[in-house]
Amino acid sequence: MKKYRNKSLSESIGTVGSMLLFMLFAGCTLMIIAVAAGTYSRISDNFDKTFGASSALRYISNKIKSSENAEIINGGDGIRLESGSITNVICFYDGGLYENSMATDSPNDYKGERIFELSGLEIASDGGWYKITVVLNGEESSTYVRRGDFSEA
Amino acid sequence: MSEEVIFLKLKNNVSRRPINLFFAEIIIVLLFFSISGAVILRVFAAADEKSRKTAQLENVIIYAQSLAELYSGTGDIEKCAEKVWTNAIVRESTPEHVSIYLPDEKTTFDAYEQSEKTAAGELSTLKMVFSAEGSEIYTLSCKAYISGEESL
Repeated sequence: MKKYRNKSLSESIGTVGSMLLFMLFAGCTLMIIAVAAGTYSRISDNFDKTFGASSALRYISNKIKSSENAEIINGGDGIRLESGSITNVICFYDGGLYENSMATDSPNDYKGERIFELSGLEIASDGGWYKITVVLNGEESSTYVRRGDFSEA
Repeated sequence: MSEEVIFLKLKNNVSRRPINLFFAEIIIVLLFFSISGAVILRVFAAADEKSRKTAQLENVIIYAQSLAELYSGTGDIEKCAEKVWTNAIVRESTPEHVSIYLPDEKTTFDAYEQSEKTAAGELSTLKMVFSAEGSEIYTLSCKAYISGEESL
């Protein structure tokens, strides 16, 4: 009778031990998955913040550099760029950057295609340069640029 | 030892073996997954570090381009730096070398300037070096030409 009780106890301990080990394994796996998710989301946010802002800055800078004439519109929320017979209007509206390309002699009010997701845009004329400030996820990034024809900026 | 005792011992061993084997298997699997977990955590840490450095490099490139744009029009790196970083700390400032702590307090900016004066004006060459944690992360050279009338 005592032997049977001991056997039953050892089996129970074995089962509980193996269950504990399995739970430890499951816990470690969940912890690694949580760490992986955290790392991935941090990297993804970082990339969105860095490259989202810098892509928008570079896009606007290149457009300004290649334009023949530039005029700040909407109190700094946008810029009108003329290159030959084409006029580009780049402006910030409703949480995004929009661009509309149209013939210079037939302007329209269409706000254009949404090209970047942004939280804010400010373009200001500073000396001979344009200061472009982009806000994305609460962080500001700025750059200075001047057009090819410096005298007109 | 009687036959009955031997039989009982054998019986006990046979009935205990599956549990021992299961334990051994679980321990081996746990060991394997622990090693895999350690490797994975190291990879995550490396990826995180890489992402941080990439973001830092991208910011530095934007700064360098802004400075190059401003410098090519003014030829004065200190004024350019003041425009780009309003709250930067200047470590050293001589006519040939300007050293600045960036606002993030992790990156340093060093500018080495060489000027060549001619009758027509002044041609300045600027080498910008951005460093973090004691090593160079980005270098950019640019030139500024200030005509004779403006440089006088």
